[in-house]
Amino acid sequence: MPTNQTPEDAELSRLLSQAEPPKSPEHLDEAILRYATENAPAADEAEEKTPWFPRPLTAAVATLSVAAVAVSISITSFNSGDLERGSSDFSTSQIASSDAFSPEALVLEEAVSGEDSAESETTSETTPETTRERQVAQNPANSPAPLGATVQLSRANDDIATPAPADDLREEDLREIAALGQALSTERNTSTQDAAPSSIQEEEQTSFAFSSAAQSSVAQELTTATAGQDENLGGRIEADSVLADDPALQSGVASSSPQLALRRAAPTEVRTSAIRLDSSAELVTNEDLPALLSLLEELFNSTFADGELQEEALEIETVSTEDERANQLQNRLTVISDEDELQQLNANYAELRENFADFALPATLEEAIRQLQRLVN
Amino acid sequence: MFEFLKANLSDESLMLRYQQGDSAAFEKLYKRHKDPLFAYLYRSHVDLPVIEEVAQEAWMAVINAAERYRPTAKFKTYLYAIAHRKLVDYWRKNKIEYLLDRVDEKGESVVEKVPGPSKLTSATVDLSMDLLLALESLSKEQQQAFLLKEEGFTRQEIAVMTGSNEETIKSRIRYATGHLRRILEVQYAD
Repeated sequence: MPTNQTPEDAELSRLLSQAEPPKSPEHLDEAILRYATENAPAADEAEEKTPWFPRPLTAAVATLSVAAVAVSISITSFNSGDLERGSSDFSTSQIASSDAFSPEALVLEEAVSGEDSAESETTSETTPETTRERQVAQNPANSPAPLGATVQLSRANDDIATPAPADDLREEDLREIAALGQALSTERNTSTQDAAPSSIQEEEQTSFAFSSAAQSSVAQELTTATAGQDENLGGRIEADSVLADDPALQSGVASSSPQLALRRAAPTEVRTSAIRLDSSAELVTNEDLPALLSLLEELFNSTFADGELQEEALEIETVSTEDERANQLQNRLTVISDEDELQQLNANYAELRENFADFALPATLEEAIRQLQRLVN
Repeated sequence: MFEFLKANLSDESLMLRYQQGDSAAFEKLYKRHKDPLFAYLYRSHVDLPVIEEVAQEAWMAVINAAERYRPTAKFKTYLYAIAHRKLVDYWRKNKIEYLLDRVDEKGESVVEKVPGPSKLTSATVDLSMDLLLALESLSKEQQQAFLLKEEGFTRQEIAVMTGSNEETIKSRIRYATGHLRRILEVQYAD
C-alpha cells in the first residue's frame, strides 16, 4: 500500500475492502488444481536432468578428468620409454666398455641380446674351453678373444662382476707389453747373432706373443711395437701359447689385475693344441745355477783331463763370477766339433749328474748347454 | 515441522517446487492467491462467468509456463500481470468499450454518458457496491491503475504490468481517485 495516502484515499481503500467480493468458486478451484496436477513437470525428468555432481563443480570435474588422462598417458609413455632407454643404455655401456676390443664386443652383444636363451647355456657350459671354442669359431679372423671370455666368465661367475674400464685396461696392458717387448727385443737381438734361435727364446717369444695378442686391439699395438720387427716372430704370434709354463710371465700375470690375469689364464686353459715343454726344459733356478756350472766344469775337466784342454780347465777354476764361468764354458763348447767327443761328454754328463742329485739340473747335456747359452745371453 | 516450513515458503519457492513436480506446492500457492485474484477480477469486471473464465485462463497460463518460470520478480506481480492481460484480451475480443478518457480533462465523470449496469444499480446498493459501480464508470486504464494500486503494487510495478510508464500510471491513479471521490460525494450528498 502506498504510504503517502491522503485520508480520502484511505477512505476509498477501506470502502473497497468492505465491499466483499465473491470468492473463487469451488468448481473453478478443482478444475485449476486438477489441471495443475496433470500438467505438473515430471519429477523423474527433473531428477534425470540433475547431474551427479553440483553444477558449479562442472569446470573442476572436467579439469580433473583431463589431468587424470594426461597423467595416465605420461606414465604409460614414461614406462615404455624408460624401459627402452634402460635396455639401450645397458647395451651401449657394455659395448662402450669393450669397444676397443671389437671381437669381444660382438661376443658380448650376442651374449646380451640372447641372454634369455643363451645365458642358461653359458652358465651351464661352465667349461671355458667350450665358450672359447665357440668364440673362436664365430670370429676366425680374430681367434684370440680372451676379453670376451672374461666378460662371459664374469657373467657366469660373480667373482669378477665389473670389468675394468677399457682405457685403464689398455694402458696397463700397453705398459706390460712395452716392458716385455723391450726385453724380448734385447733377447732377440742377441739370439739373432746366432745362426738359429734357441727353442727357449722361441717359447718365450711365443708366450709373450700370446699374452699380448690376448686382445685384438692390444695385438695391433704388439704388431707395431715388437712383432713387426721380426717376421719369424710374427708367424709365431699366431701360434699357440706356453704362457702357463713360463714362471716369469706367470709372475707378471699374477701382479696384474684380476681381469688381466683371468684373460691370460683363460686361453691357456682352453688351448687344445698348446705346446708344452717337458720337465727338462725347466729353467735352472739361481740356487741350482752354481751346481750346473760345477757339473759342466767337472764334466770338461774329467773328459778332457790331459792335453791342452787341461790348462783351460785350470783357468776355469780361477774364474770367480758365475757369468765368467758360463762364458768360459760356452767358449769351450763352441770349439768342440768332434762327434765322438760330444758323445763322450753326453755319457759323462749322465754319470756326473747323479752326483748332483740334490739339485734340479737338466737331464741331458743338450738341455744343459741350452740353458748355459741362455745364461750367457 | 516440515508442514510448518512449507507453509512459510515464499511464493517464488513454492513455484520453483511446483516447477520440480511438487503439485502440493502449487496447491498451496493457489490457495494463497485465488481469492484476492478473483476479487481483483470481479472489481474489474462484475460479470462472474466472465471472471471465472478469465481467472481460469490466468491460472492455466501460469501452470503451462511453470517450466520456464524464473523468479525475477514477485510471483504476485507475475500472476496479476497475466490476469490483467487476459482481461484486456477479453475486453478487446468482445468489443467492450475501452475508452481512455471516461473522465474528462477536468476530472469530471462522464459515467452518465455511458450506458451500463452501474447506472442501473447505483441507487440500490450500499456504498461499497457504489464504489464498484463507480469503478465501472472509469476508463479501463484508470480502473486498472487504481485497482492494482489497491492490490498493493507500486506505480513502477503497475507500469510494467500494464506496459506504460510510471508517470502515466501516476496520472491515471490521480484521475481515478478524484473521479471516485466526486461520485461518492455526490451520491451521499444527495
